[in-house]
Amino acid sequence: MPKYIRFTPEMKVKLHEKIGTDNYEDYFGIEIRRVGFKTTKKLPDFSSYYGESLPKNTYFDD
Amino acid sequence: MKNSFCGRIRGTRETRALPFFYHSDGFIEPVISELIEIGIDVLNPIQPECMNPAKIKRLYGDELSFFGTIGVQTIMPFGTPKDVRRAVREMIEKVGQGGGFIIAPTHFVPVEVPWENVQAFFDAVEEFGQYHLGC
Repeated sequence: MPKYIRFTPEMKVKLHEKIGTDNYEDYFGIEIRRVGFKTTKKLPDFSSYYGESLPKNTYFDD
Repeated sequence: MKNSFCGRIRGTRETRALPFFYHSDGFIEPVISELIEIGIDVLNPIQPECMNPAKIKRLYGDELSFFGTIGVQTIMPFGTPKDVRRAVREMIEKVGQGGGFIIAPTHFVPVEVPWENVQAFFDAVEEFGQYHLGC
């Protein structure tokens, strides 16, 4: 059965102390790897969702 | 939102044969049938703290695969290694039946989780994680 796990950064430090490597996927034989998109260079601006009465240069990025 | 997801999934499927994975924490049982309707293939993480993974499997196992089910708010930080072993076995037996299951803690494993429980998770998957497909 395929298995998967992810650790918080703090737990990764503890993990390294226990298993002696950062490559826990290989250590535990995890069958799955994640891929993703690179962070966009153009920052998003969600100001338009907040109406038109915002002060000048107001910017929402989340 | 449903229409937006549906459009994206259909658009992607026109050019690529990819399975679609959907992540949502919490109690989402009321919308699972709609997720299936728009083309989701894999549901994650099915938190056992607020949903019954065995029930979800029973209801939707013919149409969805499942990814998760081992609680990071309960069993992993607060259980014993025996509890983890028991939970892994139960989920493999109930959710893994017939295939379509990737067993995993339901989110990032935090530093509060005892190392012994991490090891117990992998040991139990190794011990019980064999598919019995009835072939």
